[in-house]
Amino acid sequence: MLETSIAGLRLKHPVMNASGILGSEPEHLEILAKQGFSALVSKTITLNPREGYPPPIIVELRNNGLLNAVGLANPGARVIPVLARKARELSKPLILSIGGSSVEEFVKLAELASEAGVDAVELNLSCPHAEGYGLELGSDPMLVYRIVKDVVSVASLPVIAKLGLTDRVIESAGKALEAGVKALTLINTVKAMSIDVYTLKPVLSNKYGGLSGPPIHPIAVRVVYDVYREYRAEIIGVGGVSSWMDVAELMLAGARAVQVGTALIWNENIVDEILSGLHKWLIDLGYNSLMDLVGIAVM
Amino acid sequence: MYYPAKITGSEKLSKTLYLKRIKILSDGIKEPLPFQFLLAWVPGVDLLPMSVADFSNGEVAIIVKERGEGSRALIRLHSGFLGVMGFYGAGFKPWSYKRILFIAGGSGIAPFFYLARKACEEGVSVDLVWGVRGGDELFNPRSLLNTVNKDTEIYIATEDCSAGYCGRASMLASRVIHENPGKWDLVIASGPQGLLREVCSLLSDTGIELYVNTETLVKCGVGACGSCVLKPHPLLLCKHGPVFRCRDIEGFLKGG
Repeated sequence: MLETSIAGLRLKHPVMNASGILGSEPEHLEILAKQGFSALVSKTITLNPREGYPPPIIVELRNNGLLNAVGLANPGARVIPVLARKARELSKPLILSIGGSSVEEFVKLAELASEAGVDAVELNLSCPHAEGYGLELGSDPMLVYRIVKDVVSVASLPVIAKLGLTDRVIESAGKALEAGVKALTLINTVKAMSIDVYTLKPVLSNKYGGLSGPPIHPIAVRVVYDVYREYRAEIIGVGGVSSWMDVAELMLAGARAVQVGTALIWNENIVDEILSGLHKWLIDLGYNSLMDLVGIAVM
Repeated sequence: MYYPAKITGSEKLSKTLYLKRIKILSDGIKEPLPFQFLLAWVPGVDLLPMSVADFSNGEVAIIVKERGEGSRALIRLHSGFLGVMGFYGAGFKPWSYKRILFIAGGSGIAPFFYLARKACEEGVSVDLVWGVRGGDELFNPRSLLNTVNKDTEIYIATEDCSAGYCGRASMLASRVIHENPGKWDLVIASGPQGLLREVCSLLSDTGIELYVNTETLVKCGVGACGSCVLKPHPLLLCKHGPVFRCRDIEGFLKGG
């Protein structure tokens, strides 16, 4: 009932973790696998190790949102085969999130991912708080086209592009599809800030961060809807999912799979809760398969 | 959760240890469990993981040891505002035991005071073995202990042999346990990794339940960044700890 397929991967159910929560070490994958995700998504791996920003890197906000500027901290490309091996040991498909500051870096990382035998790569074209990475590239549709085109030409695995909220997200999505991505992950965190009103200073060491959690969910629904309406593409919906109903909304807007990030922080049983909720929802509606509901709300 | 907060008290306890009392400027703060911790934000300087040494009515006490720039800045903050994130960690409620021996090294003593207060409410007794390098790091633990903890026994060790037992906390603990068979049914060690490792190996044949309060690099506190993973175990200090049973983290203790 809950099976889905995305970018050629057949999954038992539509819920994977979102890149960025854990996922840079093999032990992290073990912790994530215990949550019951149908596929694991790594933290964004860059060619060279990155220290990331000094703390504070994460702030829990009053509005149930989360603000982060971790700064793409990761051990670098040497960890790719280690993560691939661990995912095989755990019998979970692994989607490797990769981040470069140039076309060449993305290509090199995609080659390493292909060699290591991961199941797919997700191009991070949307991190909102790392200079020269992520959103700075993803907001330029022509650059998205070039990165994807070159990566697709060397990668022997499905390529997914993760795009974030920009004025040109629909255009960037179109260019990514035109260049050959199998699927799009929409959206990433939204650039935001939090200021302490007594110390009179921004809390994050990086000042700016990415907002995630329930406050961004309606934005994710809107972007998924728009991109699906325009291209009928394969989409992984992500942004503020904290219940089955949030998943259902994203699927009705056109997502074939979803990712959960922030909600993991507050709820260890989130995956089970979502799956039983979706199951009941299908029965209530009289549907046999979740796939039959994908994009059904899109006019 | 992030809260603005204000320093309400500051006291030098010894040559290296300072007590800070911090009022959280938000209503309805749920009281922490023993061994839960907070992240203290000194704006523009650093974010420091701190054990809860006491808590009542939205005011939390921490014990700060001078280590680097961040802790120095926090020590120098005698009044004014800061940020507090927490309370983090799973905490530890050892209320099924009768009598606990808490073995502390240096500033690892911090969570002892809050544990003792809560244990007393639960009818559990806690005794203390506290070891320091130099005698000038010592203060009288009774001065911070709630008056209700009347039956708490305190054993002191110094490595410079200037006070109490001459040697390390782990050695002294081993000795008092062998002199008092059956007295304690739980040991909790708190402090540098060397101490934790020694306690776990020295006391492994005593039949007493052994737990340790771990330390590692904590950056976010909420289980997102993964920097506090207790390699090679799939355990995060900030989600699953900081207190673990010795035998559950043998690989981590060996590696440190």
